[in-house]
Parts: sequence; C-alpha cells; structure tokens
Amino acid sequence: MTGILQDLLRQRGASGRFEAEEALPTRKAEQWKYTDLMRLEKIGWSLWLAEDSHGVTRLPTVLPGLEKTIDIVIVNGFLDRDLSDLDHLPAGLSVEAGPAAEAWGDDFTDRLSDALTQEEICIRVDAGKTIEPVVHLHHVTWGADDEAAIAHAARVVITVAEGGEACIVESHAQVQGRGFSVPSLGISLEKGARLGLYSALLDSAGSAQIGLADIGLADGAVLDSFLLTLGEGLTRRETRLTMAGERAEATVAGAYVGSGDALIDNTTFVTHIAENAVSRQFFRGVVGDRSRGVFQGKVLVREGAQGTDGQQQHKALLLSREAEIDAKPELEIYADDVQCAHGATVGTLDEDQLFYLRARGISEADARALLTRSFLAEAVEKIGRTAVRDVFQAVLTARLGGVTE
Amino acid sequence: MSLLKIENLTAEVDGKPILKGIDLEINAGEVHVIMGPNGSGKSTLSNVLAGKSDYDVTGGTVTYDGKNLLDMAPEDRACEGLFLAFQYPVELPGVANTTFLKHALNARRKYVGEPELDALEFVKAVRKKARDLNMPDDMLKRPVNVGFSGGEKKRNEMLQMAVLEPKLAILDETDSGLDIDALKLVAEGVNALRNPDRAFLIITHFQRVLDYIVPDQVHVLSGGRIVKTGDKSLATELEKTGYADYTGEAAA
Ligand SMILES: Nc1ncnc2c1ncn2[C@@H]1O[C@H](COP(=O)(O)OP(=O)(O)O)[C@@H](O)[C@H]1O
Ligand SMILES: [Mg+2]
Repeated sequence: MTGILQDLLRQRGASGRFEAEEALPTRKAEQWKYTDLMRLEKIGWSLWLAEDSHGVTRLPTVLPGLEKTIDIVIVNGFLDRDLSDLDHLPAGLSVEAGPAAEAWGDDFTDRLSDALTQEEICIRVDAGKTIEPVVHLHHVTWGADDEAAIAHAARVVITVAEGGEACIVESHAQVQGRGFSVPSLGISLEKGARLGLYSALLDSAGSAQIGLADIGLADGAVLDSFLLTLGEGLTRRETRLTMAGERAEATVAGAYVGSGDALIDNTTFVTHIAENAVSRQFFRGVVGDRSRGVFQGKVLVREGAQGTDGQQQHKALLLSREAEIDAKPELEIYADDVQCAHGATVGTLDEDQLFYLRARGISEADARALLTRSFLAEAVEKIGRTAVRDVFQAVLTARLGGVTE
Repeated sequence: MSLLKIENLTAEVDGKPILKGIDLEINAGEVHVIMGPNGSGKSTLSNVLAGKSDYDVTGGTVTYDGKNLLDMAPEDRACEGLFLAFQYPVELPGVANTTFLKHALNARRKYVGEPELDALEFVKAVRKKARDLNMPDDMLKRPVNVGFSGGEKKRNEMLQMAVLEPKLAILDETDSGLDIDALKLVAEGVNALRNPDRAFLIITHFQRVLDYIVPDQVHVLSGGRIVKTGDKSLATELEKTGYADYTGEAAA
C-alpha cells in the first residue's frame, strides 16, 4: 500500500523529490508529532490539472464588508484570468502566471508543494510604490459536485521591492466539493518594504490544507501578518520567517476556532540572522467539540544576530472536555545580546467571570461567547489595517455564535 | 408585600456547613442591613441568593417576588430584578464596560419583553449615571474592572445597579474601602433608587454608611445564623461593643 501521496504523484506524472515508496509523514516524524494526516487517506483525491475546467462563475463572499479590493482569483491552484481584476491593476502592481520551476526546501511540505504545484503566480509591487486598495487573493476549491474531492496546489510568489507597500488578504474556501490544498506562499520584502498579509483559512469540514508561507525580510522591512483559522477540516499552516535584514520588524499573529473534528495546526519558525530585528508572534485559539489545536513555534537566533527582540505567545482555551491543545514553544539562541521570551498557556473559561456575567442577566451561552470573543479579540486587535481588522473580527464573531460545548 | 422571604436556609461549601438556618423577610420599599464578623457567612448568603454554584443549598426555601428563587438560573434571577454588588468584583479583560452594561441591560429588557435600547440613547444615559458617581468617561471604555482601584470597582458595581434598576439590590460590603466622598455617592445612588417597589439588603461592617442610608431593620449574622434583629440603634450599639456578645451566642 503506497497511499494517497503516491497516488497524487502518479496523477501528476512526476515523483518530485519523493522516494518510490514514500508515504505521508506519520506522527513519528518530529514535525508531525501532533498532526495526524491519516484522515487524508482513503479519500479518492483527484489532482486538478491544467487542462481541467471549472464551473465557478461568481466569487463566494467569504469576507463580507471588505471594500476596495483588487481581486485575484485562484481556482483549484490556477489563476482565473476572467474572474480576476487583471485589466485594471494600479500602476506599480503586476500579476503574472507561469509554470512553477524553483525547488524550495527539503522538508516534507516543501517537497509536496514542489511536486504538486503546476503554476506559479507572481505578484510584484514596484520600488517606492504604495498599492492603496487591498489585494484579495481568493483561493477557492471547486468540484463538479458536493462529493468531489479535489487536490490542488497553488504557489504565489510576492515581491515587494525597495520601499514598496501593499496590503494583501488571502482567503481559502470551498465553492463546491471538498479540497486537499497545498498552497505555498513565497514572500520577499526588500529594503524598507512594508506588507500587511492577512489570511483567512475557512475550509469546510472534510477538507484539508497543508500550507506553507516562506517570508524573508531585508533591512528595515516591515511585515504585519495575521492568520485567522476557522477551518473545519485539517488546516496546517507553516510560517517560515527569515529576519535577514537589520531592524526588520515582523508581527505574526493569529486566532483560531476549532469545532467539530477540526484540527488546526500553526507551525512557525522564525530565524533571526541580522542584528536588531524584531519578531512578534501572538496566537490565541479556542477549541470546542472534539477539535484539536496545535502550536509549534520556534524562534532561532543565529550567532551574530545581536539586539534581536523575539517574542512568542500562544494562549488557548478548551471549550469542551474532548477538545485538545498541543503547544510546543521553542527558543534556540546563539547570540548573547538578545531579548527573547515565549509563553504558552492552556486554560478554560473562568468560572468567576462567567458567573459575574450571568449575575448581570446575560445567558450562559451568551456569556461564554462574549468571553471567548474577547479572548480572541486580543489577537485580532494586532491587525494593523483597521478595515481588515473589522472584517476579520466580524467573521470571527459570526463563527463564535456556532461554537458548541 | 414580601419581596424576599428566606426560611430556614442552610448551605455548605465543600461539605462544610456555612449557613445554618437563616430566616429573613424583606418587604418591598424596605432597607435591611446585615452586620456581622468576618467569616460569619454574609458573602455566602449573597452568593447563594445570586445563584453561585460553588454553594450547595442543603435546606430551606427562598421566595422572591412570589417565585422559588433557588430553582432559577443566575441570569434569570438577575432578569427578575435581583442584583448583587459583589464584595470582590471580577475583572473582564477585553470586555468594554459599556459593552458589558449594554448586554446586561438588553438581556433584562429582552426577558421582560421590551425592545433593545437604541445605542446612542443608551450611551447618553450611562454617561449621565457615571457622572453622578463621579466616574470619568474613560472608565466606561475600559475593560470591566481591569486596572480599577478597589474604590473604582465598587463604584462600577454601583453604576451597574443604577443602569439595571433592580427590584432587590444586595450590596456586599460595597462601602468597605471607600473614602467619605465615595461613600456619600454610593449612598446617594441607593437613596435615588429607593421607592415603594424596591428593596435593599446592605451588608456592611461599619455603622457610618447608616449616617446616609436610613435602614428599616438591622440584623446581626454570626456563625451562619441571624442572632439578633433590631432598628438603627442596633448598629450604633454594635459599633461600640463589637460582635463579641454575639459570636458566643451563635456558637452555643
Ligand atoms: N468559595 C468558598 N470556598 C470555600 N470556603 C468558602 C467559600 N466561600 C466562603 N467560604 C467559607 O465560608 C465561611 C463564610 O465566608 P463568607 O461568607 O465569605 O463570610 P463573610 O462574608 O461573612 O466574611 C468562611 O469560613 C469561608 O472561609
Ligand atoms: Mg464577605
């Protein structure tokens, strides 16, 4: 039995950098200790190929209220030119698609995305240009019917050239059917470039996503990023951040809500190479029903990265007895003049707070929702772009109405 | 008319009996005061009335406004007009004071079948009530009780009382730790709400609050029992003699 990995490679017609008998990593692999991919097996995923054609005619509204956007639509891993706003891009912004070429790292996720990606979408913000409207990357899965199980891998490469500035929102959702997606995002922020990168991972139950964001920051570059994960299936996002430039600043914040049988995995790896760079990781999550949350966060400070300020915080709430959180924060420091701290806590809603609200007439369900929302809001508040923050908060609030015990 | 009637109420925490047979009747329009030494069960009584689940009621009955209070969920008790000003108010990080007040007020309005308040009207009304309590506007925007001083927390409880306009308000040592000006504001808040349909149960250590609020009855709670009931003069007497006379009696 070779499993779905070999099956997908066969459909792709190439084995990439995988061994002939290699299967999906099991929980014996250090990086996959808490995230069991076995639920992907036994589903007859069919890999979407360039010659296939989809039936998406209109975009689903996944982030209601998000205004003034340049829409870039990626269906099953391929840029859809008709649905995208390619004709009226503002000066200084270009979007192109071509065959994927470059091989990324050697980790499983790199090799998987290398093997399955067929098209690479390149977004470029020219030097010194500020792209005012939000660029919205819509990743959608479309299957011929509700039973369809589509595998796809989109690769988006974003370059913000020296002194350029942009705000990019990416959303992942299903139009029809379920998806196994392997989106990869390669971002390079050149000297003094600024990027707001806000992701909403909203895949439906039965779907799976193993995503990778590889982000490099040059001197004085600033990244403000947020990951909202409300996926009901398996959602893993690996965020790899390289603080390559002096005084670069990066915020990687996130909030997640697990319900049903969801598994939500935020794996981060921040490497400080240059001096005086600042990285801030701030994650908040709640898990209810039988869902699971995983946080594996690592900060590596290389020799010579003096003056590094690297903070990492993950706090989670368990909303039911069957829910589970696995958190593994790590610091590895090879420079002496650094300020680094990490903290990870897991708790439940505070009974005294609940009682205080109930004693003021607020129903138990509303009290729980209110406390949960305010717990997560502390992460959402990190989003620098106000308009995006409000939309993400609204999506989160709408979802929390549905969190059950 | 009796608004609250407690008969032979007993309650325990972790198997330890705290309330050992409380009898107390409060009519609409009245103000009752409970005094008593630390650990005598005053907060336990308040919490049992508000419905906190840490306390097990082991016997007795509580009738509130004609209903069996002990059968009701805490939120329903509140919506029926019962209010407890906590001795130790809880902090709610991330929940703005106004948001909290709005949820609380709207929950009650919904319960009694009234429409939700217009947001603007609500904010205006709350601001006015906050000013009456000498609370700066920014305390309304801040998360509930987070970073508030002891006195600010107590005033915040009084603001909630003023906004929710309860039928029966229980003030658990709201006067403790307040300077004389703050104490007067609290007393004014209580007096402003006094009317023939409402009642107050004021738990205190100090006679001084009674310089501003005139009670109908004063009770001494000791060892989980009400050991003496009298009028205002009982409070003055207690202030002079302390509780020594009563602790013995309760233990006997
Ligand atoms: N939540 C609780 N858990 C354990 N013991 C409690 C709790 N609340 C009160 N008690 C105990 O019950 C007794 C009465 O306490 P309390 O009602 O707070 O007294 P008072 O308010 O009169 O000072 C004390 O012995 C106290 O230790
Ligand atoms: Mg007390």
